[in-house]
Amino acid sequence: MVDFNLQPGVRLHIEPTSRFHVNRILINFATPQTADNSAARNLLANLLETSTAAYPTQTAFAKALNHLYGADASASVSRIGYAHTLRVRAEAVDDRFAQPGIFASLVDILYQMIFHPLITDGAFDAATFKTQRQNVANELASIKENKQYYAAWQLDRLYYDQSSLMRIPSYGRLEDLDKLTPASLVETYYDMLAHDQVDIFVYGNVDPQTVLDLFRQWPLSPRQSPLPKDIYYRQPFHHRVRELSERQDVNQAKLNLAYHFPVFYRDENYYAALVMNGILGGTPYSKLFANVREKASLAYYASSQLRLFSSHLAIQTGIDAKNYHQARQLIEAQVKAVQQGDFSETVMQEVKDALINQYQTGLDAPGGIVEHWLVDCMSNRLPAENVIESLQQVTKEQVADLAKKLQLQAVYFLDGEE
Amino acid sequence: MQQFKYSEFNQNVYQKQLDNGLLVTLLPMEGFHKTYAVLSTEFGSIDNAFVPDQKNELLTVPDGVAHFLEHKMFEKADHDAFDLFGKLGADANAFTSFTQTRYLFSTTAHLHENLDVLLDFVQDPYFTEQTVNKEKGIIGQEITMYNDDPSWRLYLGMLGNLYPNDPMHIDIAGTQESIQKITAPILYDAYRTFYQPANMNLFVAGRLDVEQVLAWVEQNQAVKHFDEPKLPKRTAVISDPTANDVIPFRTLTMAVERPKVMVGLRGIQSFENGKERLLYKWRINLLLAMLFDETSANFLRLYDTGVIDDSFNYNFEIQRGFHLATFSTDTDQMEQFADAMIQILKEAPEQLAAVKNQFEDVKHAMLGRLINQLDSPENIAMLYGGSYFDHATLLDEIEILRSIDYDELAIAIDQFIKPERLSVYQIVPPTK
Repeated sequence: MVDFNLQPGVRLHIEPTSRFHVNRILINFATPQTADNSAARNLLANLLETSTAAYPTQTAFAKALNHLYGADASASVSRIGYAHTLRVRAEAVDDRFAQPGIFASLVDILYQMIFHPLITDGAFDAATFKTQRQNVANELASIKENKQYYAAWQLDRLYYDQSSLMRIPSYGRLEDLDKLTPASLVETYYDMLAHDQVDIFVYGNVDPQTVLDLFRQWPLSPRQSPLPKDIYYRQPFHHRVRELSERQDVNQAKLNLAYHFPVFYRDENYYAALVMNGILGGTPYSKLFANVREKASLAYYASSQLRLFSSHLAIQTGIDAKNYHQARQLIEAQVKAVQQGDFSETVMQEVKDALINQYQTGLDAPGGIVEHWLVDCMSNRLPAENVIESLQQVTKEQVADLAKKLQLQAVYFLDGEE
Repeated sequence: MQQFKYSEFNQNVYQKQLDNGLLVTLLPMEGFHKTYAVLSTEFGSIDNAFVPDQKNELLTVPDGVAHFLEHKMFEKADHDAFDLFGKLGADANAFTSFTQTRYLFSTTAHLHENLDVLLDFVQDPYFTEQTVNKEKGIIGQEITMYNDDPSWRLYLGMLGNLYPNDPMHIDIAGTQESIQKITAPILYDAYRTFYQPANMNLFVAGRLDVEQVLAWVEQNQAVKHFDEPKLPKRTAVISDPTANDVIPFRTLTMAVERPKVMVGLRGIQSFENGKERLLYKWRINLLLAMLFDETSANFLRLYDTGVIDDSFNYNFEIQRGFHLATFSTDTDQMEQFADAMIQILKEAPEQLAAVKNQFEDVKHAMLGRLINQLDSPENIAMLYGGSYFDHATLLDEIEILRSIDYDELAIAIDQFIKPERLSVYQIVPPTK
């Protein structure tokens, strides 16, 4: 990879490759999460991807992208630890398979999107603002319809301390949307443009010097990155297990558990944590899958996920409500079994092989590669090396010892109505 | 072995039908780490009435047999095929659709062994009363889960309107009641009928050596015994080919945050061969993009008046024996949405003529999105439609799409759009 500092706080990362038919660009704006910036930045992302001064309707904008052989340009928000990120992504078929100039035109569309949004007299276009705010409100309301996602989010909320900023979703809260105006969003926009840490990633069949020349012209001023060096969210262990039950009109109940697990992305226990999670519930060879789903037929899904930027591990299951006690007991027993080292070397090797397969498979997915760089970059890590060796070296003792860090913190249950 | 060259993309496709009838397609991809293999049988949830192999009487089976069979194929007397893939570091999965059941793995190591596992577990049925009964709990949960998904209910509701007397209006997994009736002998009947090599195909894409993979597959098949290649006898899927049975309108009350509405259009055109079907598919995709996608004036007008929002979606699908288009959105203006979709479709010739100058851009965009798929072995393999499309691959579809002229869209309008085959389905929240 070739890295350039365009300005203090503004970096350009380029990896030329001719392996793929499509070229990709990711532009990341990062700032710490605050009490009220997530809803504003989410709406801002929506406005940026809808129209620009040169393409004042989404139809005009979509036509410009269509003209570039179905190029795609979009914006969205997400979070990595404390860092709230607004990501602008674009991709287009390489010139070789379409016509000359596609890549340069794509960069120009991004330039229009980022530097010339549809702002007149210090405010976003009122009609567009109104529609997009309604759209965001609708999307936030619809989250409740995806019960698996909803239950996962409710568990996270329950896990986070009352005062934690992490209780605010990266996409914001419905009640924050009402406070936003076409003028206030312009402030959010200029603030992001002037102060956020900016990372630009380019992956594709490109010449670094040409790409540098294109992005060098972008009017990004020098800035001091607002992010702390360590963006991981560390929450201390609390003794009382928080429990919450909720009733909704659902057929399938959801039983989700959160465990305190202070292991972080690419720290010294990272690879052992991946293996541990694979054994517990992260793979089809896991204890949760084998015992809760396959043997006891208690659940359609039963899995665990590491939350490597916010010190916990989440378990989610979809069950029949009447099996609550049996399922919970069985889930907790699986955690205990991993802690006691009650798993075979064979299973551990299967999990390692699956993780290695996942890693190598990831090398074929250009979109994922770019997102991975971003995470490395935000965490101040160099791109991973020796991944396969690191996974192979994980021992049974390491896994069991690491699992002993798992301590139950929260239990969320979504039940059907009587 | 046949070789097809696509020099523009520096890509070759190799195809061979083995003596036992199994069609093998290989698509090597330079520079890739993984290999993706899919073994498919042309057996899906709609194939619920057939003459079992070695028998003479027509058998009607409970809904959900194809999907149930898919679940049960992994389990053997003393092991689970999942574990075998696990030991070999591969990632395995399976899917059942209306017309196909597909078993697949992706791997970066031990390709030969993984191919053997795939072929062996799918070609070696093992069902007992006990294992079949145990599965009913898991599949019951799966059905329950889909029942809570409003988008799936909307789609299935529309299929119920368009095909009220045909099997595609039932969930692919069946119903809580129907799966209770599934037994080991039924699974064996279905298996013997539809899992014959002549009714199956193997597609491998990604990192692979063509000669070697073919030799491995041939060796694997050579040691097994198969009867003479023959195709299953199934009843016609559609009970009323004229589509007089389309239900124009139904409503479901369900706990949703916002009302959802879908407009559906059932097609009845039939075709001689797979190439014609693909031509039809891409003509209609182009037509719908010109009339409904984000670049259309229709989209902007409906978006600006709040009739649609970012949840708006349209789709055309063609599968063995049936094809349809759907248009859906979350909206508080359900009638306006349905009226608008129906009106645009009725006026399709005039609407199309008005945006003729957009044709080249829309076609280029569609080509670009297809070319984009060439970067993904799994997408290439999963987009492969098998015998119904004369075994065309993504690369053939790119050529077909490229060949289409503006004037051909009028043919598609004529063949597809008939107002009496339109229908509306909506989901509304309960009134409090």
